[in-house]
Amino acid sequence: MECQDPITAGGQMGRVLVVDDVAVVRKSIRATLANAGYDVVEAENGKQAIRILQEQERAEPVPINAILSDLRMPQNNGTELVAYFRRQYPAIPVVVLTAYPDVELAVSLMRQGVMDFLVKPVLQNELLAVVKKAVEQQGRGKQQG
Amino acid sequence: MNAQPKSNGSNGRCTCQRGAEEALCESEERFRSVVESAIDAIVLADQEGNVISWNRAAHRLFGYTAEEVAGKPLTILMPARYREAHQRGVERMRANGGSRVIGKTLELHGLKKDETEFPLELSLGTWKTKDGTFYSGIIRDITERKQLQDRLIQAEKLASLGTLVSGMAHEINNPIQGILGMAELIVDETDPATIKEYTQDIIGYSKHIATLVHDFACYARSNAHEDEVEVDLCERLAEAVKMVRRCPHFGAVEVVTQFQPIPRLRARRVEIDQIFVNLVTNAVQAMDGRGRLEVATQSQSGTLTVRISDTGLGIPKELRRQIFDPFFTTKEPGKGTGLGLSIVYQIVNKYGGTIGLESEEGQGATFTVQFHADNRREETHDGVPGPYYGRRADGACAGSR
Repeated sequence: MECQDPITAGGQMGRVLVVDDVAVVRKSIRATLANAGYDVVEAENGKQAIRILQEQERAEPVPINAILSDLRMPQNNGTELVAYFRRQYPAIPVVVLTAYPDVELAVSLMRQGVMDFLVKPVLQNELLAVVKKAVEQQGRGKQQG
Repeated sequence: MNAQPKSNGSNGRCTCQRGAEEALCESEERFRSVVESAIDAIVLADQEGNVISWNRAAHRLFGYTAEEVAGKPLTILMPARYREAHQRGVERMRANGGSRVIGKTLELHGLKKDETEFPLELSLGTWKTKDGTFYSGIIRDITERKQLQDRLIQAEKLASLGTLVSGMAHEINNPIQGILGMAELIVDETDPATIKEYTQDIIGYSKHIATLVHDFACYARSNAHEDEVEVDLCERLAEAVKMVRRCPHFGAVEVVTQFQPIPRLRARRVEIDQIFVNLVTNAVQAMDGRGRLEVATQSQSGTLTVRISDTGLGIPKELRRQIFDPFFTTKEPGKGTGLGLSIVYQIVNKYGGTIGLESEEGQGATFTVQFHADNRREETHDGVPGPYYGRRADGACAGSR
C-alpha cells in the first residue's frame, strides 16, 4: 500500500482533515481513509489545522469535506478548537475522535453542531461509516446552498 | 493510683489534719483527683524506670491494675523492639540528666496486658527531688485516630488515582487506536513491507502500553506492606511529573527540570511518590493549564533538597498557615478534598524532613522539601525510636508556616 502525500493525492471520496497530536493515530487513520479512497490532510495541533483551513479556503471550492479532530492536544483546548471550526467553517462537518468517553462533553459538542463523537479505539468500519456520512452531509449542504 | 509513693492510709486517701501538713494533704488530694479522673493514662516512674503511680485510665488502657504494675519496669508496657533503646535512654538520663524527648509528644506503640499492640501518643515530663529523678508520662490511645487517618489517606489516594485514570485514558486509548487501526489494515494488506511496518508499529505501541500499565500499577499498589528501600528522589520526581502530565488539567504547562545527582533516601517509594505527585498536581492546578513548572533537586551538607515551583496564582499570605491543615482547600466544593498537602506534610514529617513554602500572590509558589541524607531508622539516644516512628512534635516546617 502506498501512502502518498494526501494533499496532492487524488482521492475519489473526498478530503478529510485529521487533527491529532499522536502520530500513530494520524498514521493509522490516514492509511484507513486512504485505502477507502479519501485524501487525508494531517495536522498535529489546532494551530496547524487552522493554517491548513485558511490556506485551502483560498482554493475554490473549499477542498476539505470533513474534519476529524481530537480534543485534547498540547497547546490547544480542543473544545474551543471545535467551536472555532463550527464558527468559521459551518459548512464542514466536524467529527470528534477522543480518548475520553465523556458523555456530558459529547452532548455539549453535539449541541454545538458536531456531527458525531467517536471514542478511541474506534473500529475501521465505524470510522469509515461516520466519515462517509460527514462527507455526504457536506455534499448535500453544498447542493442545497 | 495506688502506687503513689507518699500516700497516707490504706485507701490512698490523706488523713492529715492541720497546718502545713494539711495544706500538703489538700494539694495531694487535688492532684490525685485530677489524675484519677483524667481520660488519658497517667503513669509515673522512678529513676530506674519502674512504675510508682498508675491511674484508672492507665488500668483501662493497658489492662493492668495499679497493684499489678507497682514497682514493675515500664518496659512491660512497650513492644520488645523498644525495650533495649528505652533502657539505654533511662541509663543515659540517670547519668547526665539530658534527654531530647522530655517535654515533647511522641507517637509510639504500647503493649497491653493481653500482649496486643496499639498506637499511642506519649507526652513525657520529668521532675527531680532529693530522692532522684522521676518521670511522668501522659498516654493517649490513638487507635481510632490512626484508623481514621489511614482511611482518609486511602480515600485521598483513590481520589488522586481517579484523576490519574482519566489521564491514563489518553495515554492508553491513543496507542490502542493505532494498534487497532494497523491490525485492521494488515488483514487486507498484501504488501509484505507494509505488513512488516504496521506489525512493528503494533509491537512498539503494545510495549508502550505495557510500560504505562506497569508504571500505573506501581503507583496504585497498596502501600500497606511495602518495605523501605533506597529511593532515588530524582527518578521519583521525574516519574511524578510523568504521571501528572497524563492528567487532563496538565494542558500546555512547560516543564523545566534541574536535577543534581543526590544520595538516595531510605523510604517507602509509594510515600515519596505521593509527596511528589501531590505537590506537582497542586502546582499544575495552580497554573490552570498554562505556565512553567520547575522541579529541581540538590544535595548540600547532608541535606537533600527538592524544589517544586509554579508560575500560578500563588498563595495569599493569610492562607499560608492553613494550607497543610487537613481538609483545607481553596477549590470549589467537590473539587478537592483538602488532604493532599496535609498528607505531604505528614509523610515529610514521618521521614524527619521539613517542607517550606515561598509564595507571592499572583507570582507562583515554591514548595521546598528537605530530608537528611542519613534518615535510616535508628533508635535515638533517648530510648525512643527515631523519626521513622516518632512524629516531630515541634512540627518543624520552614518558610512561612
